[in-house]
Amino acid sequence: MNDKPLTQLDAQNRVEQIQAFKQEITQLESDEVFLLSQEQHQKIQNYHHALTNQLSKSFDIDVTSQAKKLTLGMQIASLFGALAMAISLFFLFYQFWGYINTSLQVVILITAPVILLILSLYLSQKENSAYFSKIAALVSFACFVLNLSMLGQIFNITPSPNALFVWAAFSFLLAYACNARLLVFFAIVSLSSFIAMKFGTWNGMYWISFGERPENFFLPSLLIFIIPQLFNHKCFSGFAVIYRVMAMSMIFIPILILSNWGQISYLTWSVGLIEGFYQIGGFLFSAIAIGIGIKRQWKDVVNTGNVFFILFLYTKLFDWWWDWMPKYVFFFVLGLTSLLALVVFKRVRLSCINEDVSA
Amino acid sequence: MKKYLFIGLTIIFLSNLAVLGGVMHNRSGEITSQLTLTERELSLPYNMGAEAENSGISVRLNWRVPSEEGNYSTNSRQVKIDKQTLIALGFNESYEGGRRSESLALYWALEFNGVLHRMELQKAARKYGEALLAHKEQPSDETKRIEKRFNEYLTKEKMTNSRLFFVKASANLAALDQEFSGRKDILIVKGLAKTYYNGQNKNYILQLNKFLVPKIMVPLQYTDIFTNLEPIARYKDHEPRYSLKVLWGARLEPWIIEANKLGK
Repeated sequence: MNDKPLTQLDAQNRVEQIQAFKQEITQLESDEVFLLSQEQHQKIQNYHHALTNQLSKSFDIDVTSQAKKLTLGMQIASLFGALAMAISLFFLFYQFWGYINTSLQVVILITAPVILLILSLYLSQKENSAYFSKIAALVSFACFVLNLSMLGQIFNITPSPNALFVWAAFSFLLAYACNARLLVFFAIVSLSSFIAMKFGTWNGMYWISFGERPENFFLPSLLIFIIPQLFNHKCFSGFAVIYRVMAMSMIFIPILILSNWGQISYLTWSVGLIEGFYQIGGFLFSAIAIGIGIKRQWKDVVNTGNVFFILFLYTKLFDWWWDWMPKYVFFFVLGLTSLLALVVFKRVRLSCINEDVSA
Repeated sequence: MKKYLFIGLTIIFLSNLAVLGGVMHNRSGEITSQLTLTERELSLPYNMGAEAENSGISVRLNWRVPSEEGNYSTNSRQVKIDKQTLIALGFNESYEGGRRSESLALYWALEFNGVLHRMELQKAARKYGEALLAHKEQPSDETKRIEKRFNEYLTKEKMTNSRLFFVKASANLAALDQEFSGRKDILIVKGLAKTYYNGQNKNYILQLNKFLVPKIMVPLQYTDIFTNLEPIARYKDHEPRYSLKVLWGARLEPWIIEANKLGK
């Protein structure tokens, strides 16, 4: 082993690599490509056994396929647990805050996220499995959201978009401290909303109405897409995928809306021209996304690009043909376009494989 | 981990400090308005669904715009404005193509229990008088129905309807302050408004949406008077059951400093 410090993702990848290696050796031996001696077998097995033991002691990883399936169940349970706990906390406060005086309300609202922050950081260090620290982190974030929003209600404060910036900062902090993907999601939602609100304000609207102009989301989507390129996310499993998929959704959903409702655009062109512009943009950007995804080997980017390309295509076909075509012809044409897309994707895949082989 | 803890605590404490500092600034600075409002202007919330579990009490500020001649409505949220006013308010585009403007946060001046309310009372009384006369001259089910309706309007205007009337919107707080300086019946708050062009009547309409702080929280020490009080439907006539003394501070944010039970 080299001296480079391993991350949990590295450890998991290494264990999966070992499992794949064992399967391939068995296959090669059964196909009589080559045969390892008993001694070689034993040596490799001992080495792998020791390595797997060491990795599973240091990291919360799945060393068997059964463990991997159980982990997925645990992840789902912790996700629902964390969300339910956060909602429960909100209603708990709502149920009793009317019986508490203002000073005590303030003290509770400030101390709750502090205590849960300390607890989540403590659990993330002490506990081998990080599930409980992630739940504590999400509840801490919920407490902080409750903290600022309830202070707003208690003191009748004018709402401000700055709360979203602070929530984003806190959520990012907890996400990176506890390796919690769900908190990255909330952090991205908060940060993107904040930037979209600010962008809307610069363009003359009141911040709360930021959703009325979908173009407000273009700038945050670009920034969110760039973040995993600027900072190394190797230690944080799945973070980069969340950044990229959310950034792409934030650019493609507004384009999809504007390609059908041009009147809500900032552009002062005729509605037809705006819609046409965004329709072309939708096809172009989703095709570019697929291209970049293939080149950089970002499966998530390719898939998201594919989904939106198909959506743009189907909404356009619906626009053109739904009214005048018999429905059976319309759906037949949809089926044909899917087949055409399949043929294209197959050819692209084949050329990729050929490139790999020749390389 | 110490680094994360330090940053986390800094975020929590600084943001709370900013919020509570803002509250102090609002309450320790100049009092911009001081009104004793009743249930007519501050209604109890309808706690339904998830809200039913809310133990806190917030009262909603009810306000209205003066009704137009020939159209008696207490729900209208629109006032006519000219193009010059529209531009002065910060709506710097022309909306004659039928597009609605963006929402803008403006300063609104509202009059409490003043000339505008007296005019509404007179109008309701005049309408009722006309309906009564019409029924006397030509008795029929239709004239009886109209007479009854205007009698209800008048009763509501005397007893139930809000006496808080929108007077003027401005993008400039100092100018609005100066215009109404010395008027104790004037409330200045921040509210959201849009504008659009009415192609039929060829005029601009200022669409008043809502106050930026539409509800006021009742602190625990004043909640006794709300014990056993249920919200009353708007269509029912009733005397106001409580009054609340409300102050608006330097940031135009309100708070309650006194509460009294009214009636029996």
